Amino acid sequence: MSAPGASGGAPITGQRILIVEDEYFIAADLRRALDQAGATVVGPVGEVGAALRLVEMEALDMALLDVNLAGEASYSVAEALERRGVPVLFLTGYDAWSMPERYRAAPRMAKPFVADALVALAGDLVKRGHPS
Amino acid sequence: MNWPTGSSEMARRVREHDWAATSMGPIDRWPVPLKAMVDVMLAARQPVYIGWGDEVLSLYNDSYLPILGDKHPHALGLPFAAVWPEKDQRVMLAAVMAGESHLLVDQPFALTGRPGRPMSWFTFSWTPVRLEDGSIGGFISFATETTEEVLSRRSLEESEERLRLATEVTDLGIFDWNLASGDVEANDRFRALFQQPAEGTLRADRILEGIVHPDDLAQVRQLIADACDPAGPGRYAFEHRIRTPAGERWILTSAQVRFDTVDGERRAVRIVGNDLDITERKHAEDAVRESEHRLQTLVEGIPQLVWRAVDGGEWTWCSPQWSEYTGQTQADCVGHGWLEALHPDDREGALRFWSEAVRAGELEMDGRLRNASDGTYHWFQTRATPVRDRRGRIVEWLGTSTDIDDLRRLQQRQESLLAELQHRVRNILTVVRSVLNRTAERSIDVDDLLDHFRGRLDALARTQVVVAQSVAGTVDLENLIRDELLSVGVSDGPGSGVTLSGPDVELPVDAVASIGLAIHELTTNALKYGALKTPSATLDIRWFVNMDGRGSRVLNLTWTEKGVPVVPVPPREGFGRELIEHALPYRLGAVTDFAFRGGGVCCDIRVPLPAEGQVPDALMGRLL
Repeated sequence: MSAPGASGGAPITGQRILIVEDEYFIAADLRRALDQAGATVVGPVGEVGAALRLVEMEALDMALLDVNLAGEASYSVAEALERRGVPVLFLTGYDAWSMPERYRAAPRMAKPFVADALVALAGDLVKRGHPS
Repeated sequence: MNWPTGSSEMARRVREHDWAATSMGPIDRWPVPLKAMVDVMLAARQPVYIGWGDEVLSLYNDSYLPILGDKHPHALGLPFAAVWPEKDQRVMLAAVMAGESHLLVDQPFALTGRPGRPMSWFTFSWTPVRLEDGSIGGFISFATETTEEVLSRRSLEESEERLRLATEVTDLGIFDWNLASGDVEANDRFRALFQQPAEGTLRADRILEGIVHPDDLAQVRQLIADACDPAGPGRYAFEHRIRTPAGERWILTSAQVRFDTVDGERRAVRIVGNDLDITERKHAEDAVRESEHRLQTLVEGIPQLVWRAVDGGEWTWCSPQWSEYTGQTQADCVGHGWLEALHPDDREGALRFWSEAVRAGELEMDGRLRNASDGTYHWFQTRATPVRDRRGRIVEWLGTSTDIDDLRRLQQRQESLLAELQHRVRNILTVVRSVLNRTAERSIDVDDLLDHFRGRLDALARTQVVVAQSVAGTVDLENLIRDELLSVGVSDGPGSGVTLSGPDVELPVDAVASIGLAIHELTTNALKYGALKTPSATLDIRWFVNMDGRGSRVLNLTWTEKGVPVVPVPPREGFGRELIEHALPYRLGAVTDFAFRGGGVCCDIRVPLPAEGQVPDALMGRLL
């Protein structure tokens, strides 16, 4: 397992990051990677309703969002996050062509992913999402 | 001397001419017959010419002047041969001077002063004149103008020739039927057509009875009888069949009845007409009709909606299928009426396609058509091809609209299935890697890692196979459990110490992998440390389905080992425990309990089941 920021990108230490992923083992790996990078994990949750409740209640700096939640697309969660100005990193097994037009250019990480690369990408996204 | 008398030009000139200087001698000494002839000549209204004496000197009257033209007035008193040097005139002269009378018929003259009539014709009657002693003194020639006769004869000949040529090229059989006698005059073509002798008069009855097809005879007779009605126009034309040795032929007869008044009564007396062999045309017409019928059958039989249109998408015709599908009548669909059957959102696009169709030379577009029977819209693919004339200009468009709704749905489904497949493959690889990581973290050495990881990978693979093979979208729980036990060589039954019991439960595929893997973990654990390792121990697996407080179905599965000597609880939380205690609740909303009790492992798993009849799509199922 790697140290925080080992592969470049801004540190995500102390950032509050929501994980929305329905596969337990993938969710657990994500949580572990973010924990080790010093982030505060919100969730994980595996279905749309629970995710929307967390988006509503929690203060968030970023979200990792699986596109397919138990056969249900998670774009409604993405919209809720957008409305709150929370940057979203899509996790998907889909190719870009199968995603809706407006999300094709959105930041995405294809499965299976490497933890270091994920942490680095998450760091970039947090930095961009909070210009200072 | 005052002879000859009269005030005509030629009377005066003959009177004043110096005849004494000629071989005819002084006028007062001319013989009586000559004088008598000159008097007749000058009195006659028709052109008259007299040749007299050894030199045959010329005399003529006023009416003869146009024939002479500019030879007058010098011709008077000149020898005939000097006035008319032409050969045939000389021959005629010799004959008449030898005492023969002759007619010179239709002699052409280009007379001046006759505008529009370049040529005139005269017939000359030459008569020798004898003296008292019987010798021939000269001749007298009376001329009669025959221009009108010549011209009308020629015109008649020409028109007959034209008619002959015309009937030859049209291949017309011509007949003239005398109704009183029943005789028929006919040309060669008619005779050939109706199998009649080449010569002689024909008989109408023989033609009608012998040649006209028996099935058509009554109708032919009726039509002729009708045309002979004096009150009518007397014109008829009809098609009928005749029988020939070479087979049946079709004939078009056109005729005009001639009427005449006989005994104070108007009656049909003749029928003049023509016959044309139209067999080839009839056959061609039949072929066209058959071909049209076949095409029509095809057009109305195929599932496509067929239509015709002109440039700009103005329809001229739609097939019965169109009417049946859209509920539009012919009158509804023509022009731009068909747009009404199209989904409102597709109409503008359709017109745009049409405006580009002429340039593109084809039309292809998709659009939704309203089904009149249930009001739903189906996707149709519309294609049209221009029909061009010989100069390549578009005359009209022939189009078809094909229902591609099912195809489109299948395509969309295929796309979403493909996307799902991608999702599943990538997800399961991610899961496998995650399982590998966890297994590695808890393994003592590589052999231990391989042993555990292979078992888990195989269990995952088995559940994938049964899920993929499930047609109903469900998997039988008992089979799932038995497969897991069999994979490590364990079977239930008397003496085995393993019991399985429970009702038939169809697991939704999205729960199969997780539960299958949980059974696998419990089985491996029992094999290593528990009931399946100890010969005297027992394993009881039982399940039942309950209703929870909200009336939802819940599967309750218990795994109970007994008779296992006490073994130390593994210090770390194993993979199997994480799966059962965390993954199942997270993934399936299950409530689980895992414990080491006296005598072995006791595991209790409660999984919510979907309401019966509500099984998710097999391919949409979850992995773990």
